[in-house]
Amino acid sequence: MPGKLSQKSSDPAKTVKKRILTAMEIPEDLSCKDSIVTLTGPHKAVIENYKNILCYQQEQLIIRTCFGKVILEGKNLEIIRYDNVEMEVQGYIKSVCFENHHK
Amino acid sequence: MKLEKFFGGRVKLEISGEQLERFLNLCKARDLLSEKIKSRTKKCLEFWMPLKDFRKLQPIRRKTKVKIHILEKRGLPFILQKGITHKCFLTGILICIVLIIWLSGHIWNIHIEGNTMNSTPEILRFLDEQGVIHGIRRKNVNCAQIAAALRKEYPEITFVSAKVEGTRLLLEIQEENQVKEELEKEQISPCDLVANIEGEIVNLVIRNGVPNVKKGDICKKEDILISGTLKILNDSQEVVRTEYVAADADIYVRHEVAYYKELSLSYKEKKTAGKGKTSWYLHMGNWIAGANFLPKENYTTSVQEFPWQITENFILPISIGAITRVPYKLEECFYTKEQAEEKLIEQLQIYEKELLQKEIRIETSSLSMKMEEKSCALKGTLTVIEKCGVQKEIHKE
Repeated sequence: MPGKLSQKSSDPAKTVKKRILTAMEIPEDLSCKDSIVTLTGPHKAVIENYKNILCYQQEQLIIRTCFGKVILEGKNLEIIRYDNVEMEVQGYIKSVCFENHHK
Repeated sequence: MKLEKFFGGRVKLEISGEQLERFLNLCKARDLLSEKIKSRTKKCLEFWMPLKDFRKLQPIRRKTKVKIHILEKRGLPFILQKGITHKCFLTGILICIVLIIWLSGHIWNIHIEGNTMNSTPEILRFLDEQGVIHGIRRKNVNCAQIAAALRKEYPEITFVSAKVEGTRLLLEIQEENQVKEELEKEQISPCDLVANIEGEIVNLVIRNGVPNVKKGDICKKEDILISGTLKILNDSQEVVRTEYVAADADIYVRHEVAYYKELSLSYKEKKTAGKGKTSWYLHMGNWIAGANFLPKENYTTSVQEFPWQITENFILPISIGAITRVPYKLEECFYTKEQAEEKLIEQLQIYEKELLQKEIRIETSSLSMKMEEKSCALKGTLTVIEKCGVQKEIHKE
């Protein structure tokens, strides 16, 4: 019970909003602005709902999203196109890492 | 999309400085498109950008203090920029513009529709005589005059609509088909309908005249079937006067036709021996250059000509042709019994079609196939129903 109480008191407004949106069956990428990372093999990645580029080098690409950072690591990373909604990255992708703000 | 890029032009840029990521983010915020971004070193990037977006880069460059170098330029604006400095290019464009203006002031297509009795080449020949030719200046085309001239020359044309649309002269024609037929009918002099074949009359429909025969009668050649002489009687059955009309009727006669078709069992077949050779030639008016037209023995020769057709009725007297010669060998082959029978039946079917075109229908057939050592024959009689009767002028007494 104390656990439950503490969860309610931590962010009650967010929980209610999330519940309502879940009940309305609205996808989370629209309701909570969650970012979507689509990987096609190790050579192509499409990142949707991102905010901006924090760091870009051949071996590393760090992107800021609403809930933290997405870190792509690999070789010869190239941004094929990017706009306000999505970004397409090509190259050899070794790893994709999510780093949360609230960590 | 590719065309858009080509027409708009694009540049490959190299940017170097401390705030490269900020530069990219600012580009994104201002909707400036950049593609194929490659990181060369820690402080250097390479990417492609449309020319229109490149012109908006100045404030971002000032903010981020990066250095911009143009590495490559592609697209139509740069080609034009380069071309303008060359005299030949500029002259070419000017000639092209002048040509377009000159060409658009002339008629390059004469389109005729609705003509059935008078063929398009015939009308075109007449228009040619009137001075209306392909390439005539638009100003010199008088639509009303053309329409009047056409109606005058061809009386069967009842309506002509002539109009100029762009570089096309459109002629819409309406013809009256019945006029001629009626005129012809009126001109026919009094006549009888005389039998031109022997046989049994199976059907008759009379339109004009007095019938001398009835259904089931046997007629002989030169018998008068329908008489064009009308005797007008009074109440006492005496001839008051005689009138003459053109006898007209549909009379169908049943008669027999002998059929004999023989097929030789041996025949020579052309078999291709080797690959064909194609040679090209140029045909300008009466002048031909580049190919030998003489036929060669043991070669199948086919000629195909491609005329230089600018519009549907505007064909220049220049054409390119191809002569293909394929060598062949003659080999003696033989039909089997089944093949010969099949071939003879095919020929009979062709004969039947030919008869149908002449409005002769086969009613019954009694045919027999006879196979001999070197040939095969199909013979017998066909009972046909054929239209009978020819008009024969009446000599008035």
